[in-house]
Amino acid sequence: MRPLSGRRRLAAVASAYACVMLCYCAFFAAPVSPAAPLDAFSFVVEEGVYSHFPHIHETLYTNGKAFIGVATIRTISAPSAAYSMAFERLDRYAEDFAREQYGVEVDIAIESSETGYAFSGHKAVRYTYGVFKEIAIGLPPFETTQDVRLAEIGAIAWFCNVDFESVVVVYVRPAYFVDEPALQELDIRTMDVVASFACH
Amino acid sequence: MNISASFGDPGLNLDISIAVLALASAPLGLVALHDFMSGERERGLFGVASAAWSLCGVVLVYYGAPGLLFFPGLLAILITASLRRARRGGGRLQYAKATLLAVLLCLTTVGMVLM
Repeated sequence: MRPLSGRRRLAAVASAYACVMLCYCAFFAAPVSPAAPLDAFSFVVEEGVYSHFPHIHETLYTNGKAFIGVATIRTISAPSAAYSMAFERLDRYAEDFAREQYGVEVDIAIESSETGYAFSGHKAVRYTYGVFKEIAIGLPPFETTQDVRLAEIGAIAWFCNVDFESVVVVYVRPAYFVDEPALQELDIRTMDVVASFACH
Repeated sequence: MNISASFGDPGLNLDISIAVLALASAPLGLVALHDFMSGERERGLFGVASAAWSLCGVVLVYYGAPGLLFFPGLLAILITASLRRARRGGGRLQYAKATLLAVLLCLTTVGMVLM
C-alpha cells in the first residue's frame, strides 16, 4: 500500500476529524431516556426538554409543600462541571419554590455535602440545605424568637454508565410538622419518590 | 423518545448514541491503520493504539469503569508517540508537542484529584 502524499494525507486527516466532530455532535444531540421514579402518582408532573445540545430533559413534580425536580443530561463521563448547568437551574427552582411555600423571608444554609453518596446503585454527589425561618414563640411580652428548620432542600447527582447520562435530582421536603401533622406523611412520600429514582 | 437498538444478545443492548460515540474514534483509527499498512509503522501503531484506547474507554465506561481514566491514558499515548518521533529526529516541534501534552496531562490529573 502506498503512503498518502502531503495534500491527500491532509485531506484524509481533516475528513477524519470532521467525522469525529459529527459523531460527537450526534451523540450530544441524541435524546436521553429520562430518569423516572417508580411511583409518583400523588405528584403533579410537568416535563419538557430545555436544551437540545447537550440534550437535557427536565421533569418537575409538585405536591403542596413538596417539590422534586429531575434533569437527565447527555454526558460522556461524570465530571461535576458537566451537570453544573442543570444543577444550578434546578437549585434555583427549589429555592424559589421554598420561598413561595415557606415564606419569602426564609434563610437557606448549606448543611452537608458528600461526594461518595451511594444512591440507586451509583456513586453520587449530594448536598443538603436547611430552610430556616425566624418564628416568634410565646406570648407578649414574654415572647422569644427562634430559628426553625421548616424544610430541607436536597440535591443528588450521579452518572448512569449504561445510558451515558447524568441525572440530577433536587427536592424540597417539609421538615417542621408542629402546626401541620399531615406534612410528615408528605415528607415520607417525597423521600420515597426520591429514593426510587433510577436510570430510565 | 428512546432510540435504543439491540445487537442480538439481549445482555448487550447498546443505545445507538453510545455506538456512535464508540465509533467516533474509528475514522482516525482507519487513517492510522492506512499509515501502518503503507510502511509508516510507528505513526500508524500509535494512531491505532489511541483509537483502540478511545473505543475501549466507551465500552468499559458502559460496563462501569470510571470514565476519567481514559483521557489521561490517551494523552500518555500521544506523549510517548511525540517523544519517540522527537528522538528519531523530529526536532524541537515534537519535543514542544510532548511538553504541551505533558502539561495538559498534569493539569488533567490534578483537576481530577481535586474534583
